[in-house]
Amino acid sequence: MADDPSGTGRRVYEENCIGCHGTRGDGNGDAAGNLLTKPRDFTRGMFKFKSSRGAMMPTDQDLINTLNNGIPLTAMPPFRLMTEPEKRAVIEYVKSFSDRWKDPQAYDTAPFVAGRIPAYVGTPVSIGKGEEIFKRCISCHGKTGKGDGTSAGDQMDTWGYHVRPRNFTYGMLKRGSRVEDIFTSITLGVGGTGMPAHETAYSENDRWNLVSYVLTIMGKVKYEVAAEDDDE
Amino acid sequence: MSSSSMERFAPIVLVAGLLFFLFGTFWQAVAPWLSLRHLPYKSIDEIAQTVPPTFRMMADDYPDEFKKYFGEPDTAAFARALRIGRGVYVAEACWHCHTQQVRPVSNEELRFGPVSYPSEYANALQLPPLLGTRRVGPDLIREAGVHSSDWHMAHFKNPPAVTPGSVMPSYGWFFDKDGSPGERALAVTAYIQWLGSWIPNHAYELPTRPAAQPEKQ
Amino acid sequence: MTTSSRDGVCRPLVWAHTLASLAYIVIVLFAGMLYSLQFLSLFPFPNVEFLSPGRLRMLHTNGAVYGFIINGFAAGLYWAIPRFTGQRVWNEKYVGWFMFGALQAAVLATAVGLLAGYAQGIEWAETPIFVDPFIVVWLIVALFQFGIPIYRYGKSGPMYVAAWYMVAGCVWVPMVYVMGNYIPQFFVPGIAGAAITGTWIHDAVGLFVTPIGWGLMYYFVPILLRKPVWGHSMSLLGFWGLAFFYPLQGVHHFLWSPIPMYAQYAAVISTVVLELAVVTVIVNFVLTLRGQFGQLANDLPLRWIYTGILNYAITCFQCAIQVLLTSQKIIHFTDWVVGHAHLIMFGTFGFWIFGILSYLSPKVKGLEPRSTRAGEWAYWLITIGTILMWFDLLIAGVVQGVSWMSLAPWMESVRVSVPFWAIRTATGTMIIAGMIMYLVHIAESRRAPSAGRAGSA
Repeated sequence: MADDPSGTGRRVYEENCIGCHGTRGDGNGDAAGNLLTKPRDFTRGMFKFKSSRGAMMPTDQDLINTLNNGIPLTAMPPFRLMTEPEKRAVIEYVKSFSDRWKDPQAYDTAPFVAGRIPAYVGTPVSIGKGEEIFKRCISCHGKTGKGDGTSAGDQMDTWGYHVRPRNFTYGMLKRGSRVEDIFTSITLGVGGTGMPAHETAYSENDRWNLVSYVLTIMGKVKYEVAAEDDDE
Repeated sequence: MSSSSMERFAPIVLVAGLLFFLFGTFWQAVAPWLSLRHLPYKSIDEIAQTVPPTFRMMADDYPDEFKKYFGEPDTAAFARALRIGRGVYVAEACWHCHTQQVRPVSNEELRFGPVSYPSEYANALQLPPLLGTRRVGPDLIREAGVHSSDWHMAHFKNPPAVTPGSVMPSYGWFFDKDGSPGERALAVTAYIQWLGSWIPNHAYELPTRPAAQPEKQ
Repeated sequence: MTTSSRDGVCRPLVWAHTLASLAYIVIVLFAGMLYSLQFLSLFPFPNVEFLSPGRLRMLHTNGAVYGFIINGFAAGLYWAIPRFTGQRVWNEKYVGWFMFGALQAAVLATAVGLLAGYAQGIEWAETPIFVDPFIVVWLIVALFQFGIPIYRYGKSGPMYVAAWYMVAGCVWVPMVYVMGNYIPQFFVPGIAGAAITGTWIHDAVGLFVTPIGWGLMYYFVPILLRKPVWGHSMSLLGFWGLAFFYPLQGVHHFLWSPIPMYAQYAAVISTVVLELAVVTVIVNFVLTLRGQFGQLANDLPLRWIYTGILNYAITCFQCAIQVLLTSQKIIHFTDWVVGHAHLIMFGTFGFWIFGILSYLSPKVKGLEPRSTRAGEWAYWLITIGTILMWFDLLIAGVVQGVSWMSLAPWMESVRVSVPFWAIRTATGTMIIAGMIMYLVHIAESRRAPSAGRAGSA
């Protein structure tokens, strides 16, 4: 068990998490049966949204981000108002459910950090380039980005649950609400699912162009109609 | 002053009293209406022209139930869902424990989101207005997208299972016999997911930029 | 059924309204008790649609106003008006019994409608929309029923202040009821509509329950004390203070909302200033009691009434503090307001009705009111229960408000409230026990006293 002499982590877990993630952290809480996206099974020590590569463990900051923002489109709500010590404590408590956290080999020594958003993201040229690259994504995400590609129907994740490729037209993504989060998802993939990493397959520019196109499908790129020239 | 001399003024005082009443009612009820009359009013059908993604997602998440009760997730279905959903919200007295206003004080902006402003209430779904006067549960005017629809379903079925310690009642009658979401569960969730959907709560938006290179004249 | 005696009072009508009032308060108390159990996660009927806690809450408030208070006031008015005006009400045989039946039908339709899910989304006006027109008609008929004798009496000379209050209440209430139930429901949406519902919420209390209640007090207190009210001019001052400041207060239910600030400032200021008018009324009644404080010991109806007046003073003083925009930052939306509402609706007007009904119940049978052991139990259980509930909810409100302000997670404010809610349920149990004692007292006081042990008032 993790070091939690004050019992804070356990208390916070029981006050906030136990309903879905369950007493034993196996994702089988009382409410889990009614949820479509099943709560994470902490006993497996595997996570979807993180800055580490492959099956490596998430950083504490990754888990804090999940606590702060929740996972949009799923039943994981944001816990922004929890205090910082409580967040740290509950993360330690969650770590106590799996021995993978004790394996020093399971950590990414240089977790990925998305750089600054290049200025060209969202420009018509970038979107056009992104559209070309996106053609390689449509077998899962579909031609219009609705997650209804030809191989979308029969995908399972590592935890044995049916998963769907992301439908971008909902205008929200699970990882987070920043443009950089789209870039991170393209780069690292989504852990335990059919979404692979593209860190080596595509250059950084290509990935940012892809971000431009995804933002377009999401309806998030805003253009002003060229202003009529006023007398000012 | 003897009481009889007071009585002599009774007719004057009576007129004055009526004027007081009219003045009070004017200042408290009529004047705010005059002040806010210019706000563009939206009917439910006009509101439903913008179908939020949560509604389409609900149709994907619960395909059979959604098709049975609402058909396709189009504007007509959304208008119907809003109507039924708000009806449920009123009938079940949701508005007696949840407010729909964020005040500019007491850190409410940090807890719930942007402070409420008059024009967001100028629509048929605030007729009668559902601002509320008691918060047992949190405010809901910025609730859109904060929780997913399946969270709401699990929560309506058994709130303490989702939120340990919650004192919200279960609403088992929103669901069909087999436990799948019924018309009322889908409708009230659509209504709650609409609350605040007009405020962008995600930061994806890139800064607005010109569509084409405008010719300098 | 129109056995009017020489004083012009139709006793069967008084007794019928008394019984109806008592029946509804029992239902209302149990609805409130059930609702409070939900807050302790002990609700006995989970997942029963027609006994949903939310619906029971609306039954609790609407049953209190339309069932308990209107019936209780009607009993008082049917007794008081003929006796101090010397005029019979408009018509007992047809109008009186029609009004009685229509009122009970409307309240039952409201109760069934609320439990079946036909509530209207306006606070204190949750009566289903299809019941509203009948209530409006009833209120207009009531204006004639009680207004006609007062009009006849007023032609013969200066009117006693009780009549001013009663007439004003009867004139105002149909207007504000139509305003509050129809305009925000069908015509004015959003923030302007909220201003109107606020005005309605407050007018329902200030321009209906308060004037009728005080009107009855100006009749029953001098009768019980066998002497006139201390100052007539002071009475009129209180009346006009109320008439001027009450309609200006509606928006104080929505402070810090998007309603224009000029309306909010006016509401705050007039609420604070109303305190002056309230003080004149309270002082008037306390000075009336001067020299006869001892009578409170044995005279149960008088004690109920003066406890109600004391609670009124507390509530109004509290109101002047809580309405300040600074206080509102903490206590708005909290249980503080719930405690406040209980002390005014139950602790004041409810107590007055208990006083009036315990006086009238033996009177309509030709007996003198007397104190009984059950009556004493009823008084102390209900009074202590109500005051404790008020105080408990007050503290709960501050704790909740501070918890929200501190940005602690929401559930924190629920967890810290649970002990307060447990105390509320306990005090509610006291009130229900007291209510049962009260019913015993009413039954006992209507039996002829056995010689020797009658504690006459």
